[in-house]
Amino acid sequence: MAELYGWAGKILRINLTDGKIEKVDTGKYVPKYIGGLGIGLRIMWDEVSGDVKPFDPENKLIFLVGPLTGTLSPSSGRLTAVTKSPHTWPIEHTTRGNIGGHIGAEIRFAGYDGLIIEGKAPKPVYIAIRDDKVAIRDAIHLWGLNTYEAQRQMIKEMRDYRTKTMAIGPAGERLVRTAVIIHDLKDALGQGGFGAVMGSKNLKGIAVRGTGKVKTACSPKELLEIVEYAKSLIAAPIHGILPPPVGTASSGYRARDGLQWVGGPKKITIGKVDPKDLSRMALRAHEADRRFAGKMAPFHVKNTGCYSCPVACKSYMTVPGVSRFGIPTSGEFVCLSATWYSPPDSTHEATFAAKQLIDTLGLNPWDLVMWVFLLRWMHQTGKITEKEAGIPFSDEKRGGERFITTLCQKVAYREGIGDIMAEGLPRGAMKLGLLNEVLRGDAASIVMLCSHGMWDHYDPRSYSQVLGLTWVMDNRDPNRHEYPGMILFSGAKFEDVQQVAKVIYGSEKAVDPVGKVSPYHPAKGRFAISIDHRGILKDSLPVCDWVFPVVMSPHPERKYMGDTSIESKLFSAVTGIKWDEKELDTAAERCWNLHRAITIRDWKTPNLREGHDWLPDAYFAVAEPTVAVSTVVTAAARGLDREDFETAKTDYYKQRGWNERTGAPTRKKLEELDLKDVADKLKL
Amino acid sequence: MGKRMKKDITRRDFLKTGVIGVGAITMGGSVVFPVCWPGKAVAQTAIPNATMVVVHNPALCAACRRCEAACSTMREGAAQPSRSRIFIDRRYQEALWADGQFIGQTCRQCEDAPCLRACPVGAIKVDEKTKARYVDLKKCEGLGNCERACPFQVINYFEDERKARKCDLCDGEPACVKQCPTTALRYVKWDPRHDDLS
Repeated sequence: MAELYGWAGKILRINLTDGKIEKVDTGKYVPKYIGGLGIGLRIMWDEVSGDVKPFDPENKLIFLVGPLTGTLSPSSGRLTAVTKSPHTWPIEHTTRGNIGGHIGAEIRFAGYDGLIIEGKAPKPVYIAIRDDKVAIRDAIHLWGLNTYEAQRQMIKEMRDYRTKTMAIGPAGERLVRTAVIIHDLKDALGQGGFGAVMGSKNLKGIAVRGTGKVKTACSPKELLEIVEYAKSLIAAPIHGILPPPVGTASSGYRARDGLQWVGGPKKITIGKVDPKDLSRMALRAHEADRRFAGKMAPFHVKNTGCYSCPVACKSYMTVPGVSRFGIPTSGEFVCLSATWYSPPDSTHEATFAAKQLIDTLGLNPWDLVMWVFLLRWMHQTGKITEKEAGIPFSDEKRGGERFITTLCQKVAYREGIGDIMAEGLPRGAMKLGLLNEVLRGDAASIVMLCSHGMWDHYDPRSYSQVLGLTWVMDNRDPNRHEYPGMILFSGAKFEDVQQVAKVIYGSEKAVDPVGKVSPYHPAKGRFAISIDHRGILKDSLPVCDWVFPVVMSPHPERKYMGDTSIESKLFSAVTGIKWDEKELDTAAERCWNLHRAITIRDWKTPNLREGHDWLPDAYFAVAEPTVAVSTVVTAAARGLDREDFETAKTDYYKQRGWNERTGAPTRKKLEELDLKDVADKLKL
Repeated sequence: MGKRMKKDITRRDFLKTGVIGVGAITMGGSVVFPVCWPGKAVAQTAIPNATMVVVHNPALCAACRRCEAACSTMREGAAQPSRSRIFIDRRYQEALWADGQFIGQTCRQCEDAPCLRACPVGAIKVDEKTKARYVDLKKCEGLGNCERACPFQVINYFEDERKARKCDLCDGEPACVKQCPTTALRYVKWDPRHDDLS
C-alpha cells in the first residue's frame, strides 16, 4: 500500500462486549470517502442495518478525524461522530455530530483515524488510549460522577496531564435521549443523543494521549503558504468580516475601539484589530459581547480556541458566585450553550449556572430551551401547576436560579416530569398530549420545533428557502452557517453580499435580506446544495463550520470575495492527492448521496418527499415578532408559501439528479458517483 | 561487614579526589564552572547573552497550540506537539479547570546557560547570529544532562532518537510567534528579567 499522508491509515475497532480490539485499514475508504463523516457514513452503511435501534448493542458509535486533523490547517481540530440517533424524530435514523477542542487532534496523534465502538460492556468502563496501547478499563468508580469529575479522574489515572478526555454525565447514563458527550469544559458532542448511545454501551468516557505525528505530502513551507493565504481571508468566527459600528450589531467580528476583556485577573484592552493583522486575529471574537450585549461580558476572561484554530471563538468565563450551586466557577461557551437560559428577569448567576449545569450533567441546551418555553407556556395557560411539575415557576421572577437548577437536575436524573422531558421535546410533548399544539397550535410560535425533532436555529421564514431546504434534507438540524453568516453575521452591506452570492452561486437572487423572503429561485437550490456539500467537507476534512467555506473576506479591494477553493488546496497539499475544488465537491456529493441512501434504509421507504423532507405547519404561518427567542430571529416575517416550497423541493431534487417525485437518488446518479453497490442494495 | 568497609573506603577515596579537585580549581583560578568535568567544552570564557527571546503571556493565550504545531511542523517536518520546543499542553489542563491563565513554557536563553554548561560533549552551542543556545545534533550523544540541568524544563529530549532539542529561535524568525493568533507569544529583545524565576 502506498504511504498515506494526512490519514493515519488505521481505525481502531473496539468491541465492548468481548473486549476485542482490532485495527481497520483506512486505505479501503480513502480518498473515495475523504475521511471523517464520509468514512463514518460508509461504515454505517456497511455494518449497521436499518433495523438496529439506537440503544441496541448492534448500534455503533463511530468517532472520526480527517486528513487535515492535527496539521496547521486553520480550525482543523474537530472530531466527527456518527451513530443511530435516539434523538431524531419521528424515526431514529443515522445522524452525525461534531465536537471541537483538543481531543480530535489527540486521537490523530495517537495514530488513528477514528474509533469504532461496538457492542455493550457488561459493566461501566472507559477506554484508555496511549498511542498503540489501548485498554478498556473499569469505570464503576466513575459511574454517577458528572462530566468534569469523571474527566479529571480519568486524567489522574492516565498519569499524564496532557491526556485529553471526553465523558458522559448522569444524563447519558440514564439514557436521556438528548444527552451529550462533554470534552474539557464545554466542547460538546450534542444534537443526536450521542451521550445516550455512549451510556447504553456502559461507556463512561474516553481518555487519549497521543505523541505521534501527522505527515503531510507537501513540504512544511508549501503548507504554510496555503495556511497563511487562508488566514488572510478569514476574519472572525461565524463568518464575521466587519466589526460594528461599520458592520451590523450581530457581526461575529467584535474587536473595536474601547473593547476590553474585564473578567480576568487583569483588565485587557483589545481595541481595534485590523483585518490584515494576522498576529491578533484571535482577538477579534468576543462571544459574550455578541450574545449577551452587556449581561455576561463583565465575566469574559479571554478567548480560547480548539486545537490549531487561529480564530478562537470560545469565551472563557469565570463567575465566582455559582460555586454555591456546587458547580465549577469557570467555563467556556459559544453561541447558545450559555444563553439558553437568560430571560429578562434572570440573574447572571442563573444564566451561568444553567450553562455549567448542562455541561456537568451532560445535557443538551438545544432541546432544553424548547422545554423551558413549553413548560412556561403550560404554566401560564394553566395546563400544569407548580406542584404537579415540581418546578418553582414563581422563582423566575426572583432571578430564576432555583428554577433552572431544579429543571436541569430533574431531566438529568429523570425525576418526576424530568422523566418525560428526557425523551426529547417531540416525544415528551406526545406523552403530554401536546404534540399538535407544538406543531401547529398555540405553542407552535413559542416552541419552534422544526424537522427531525430539533429546534430551529434559523427560522426559514427569515432565512429563506435555502435554510428550509438544507433543514429538511438533512438528518438533523444542519445548522450550517454560510447563509446566516453571509446575510447577518458578516456585518457586510446587503449589496456586497449579493455581489458575492452572484459570483459563487450564480445569481444575486440566491440571498434575501433577513425576514424578507422572495419567491424561490434556482440559485437558492444551488446555494442549498453547496451548503450540503461543504457541510460534508466540514465534517470530513475536518474544518470548522464557523470559518469554512471562506465565502467572504474582510477586504474591500477583493469586493469582500472569499475563496471557496481553500479546502481543496489544503486537502491536496496535505494528502498529495491533487483534487481541485470540483473534484472534492464530487467526493462530497458521493457522501451526501450515501447519506441519503442510509436515510432511505432507516426510513424503510424510498419516498422521503412527504415524510422526511417535511417542514412543520407553523413555518407556513406568519411569524410574530414576539417569537424572537433566538437572538438572531427575526423581524415579523410572512410564512413560507407551501406551493413555493414544494417547487423549491422539486428543483432541489432535479438539480441533484434525484427522483423528483420521491426525493430518492436515482440509479444513474449513484452509478455516476461510483456507488453502484448502494443502488443494488436499495433495489433502485 | 566487608561490604560496609568497602563502601567506606570508596567514599573516603571520593572525598580525597574531591579535595584535590577543588584544590586544583582554586590554584588554577581561571576555570569558572567545573560542573561538567571531564568535558571538553568547559566554558572558559563568558557566554554571550542572547539578543532576542520568545516570551509568553498567559493572560492572552488562547491555548490553540498553533505554536506547538508550527514548531514541530517547521523543525521536525510534521505536526507533532509532543516534539515541539515550546510547551503549552503540559500545563493546559491545570489552567483550564482553574482560571484560564494558560502558562506556556518557552526557552529563556539564560544568561548562564545551565544546559550549555551541563553538556559534557559541547553539543550545545551559541548561535552566531541570534546568540541563541542551540543543540548541535551531530555532536549530541543523548546523555540528557541538559534536560536535567534546565531550570525551566524546556529541553525536549527524544527518547527514540536519544537526542535533545531546544529552542534556537529559528534563526531569527520563530515559527511559533508567527503562528500565534493572539500576540501571547512575542519575539522581543533579550533582557535579564526573562531569565528570572520570579
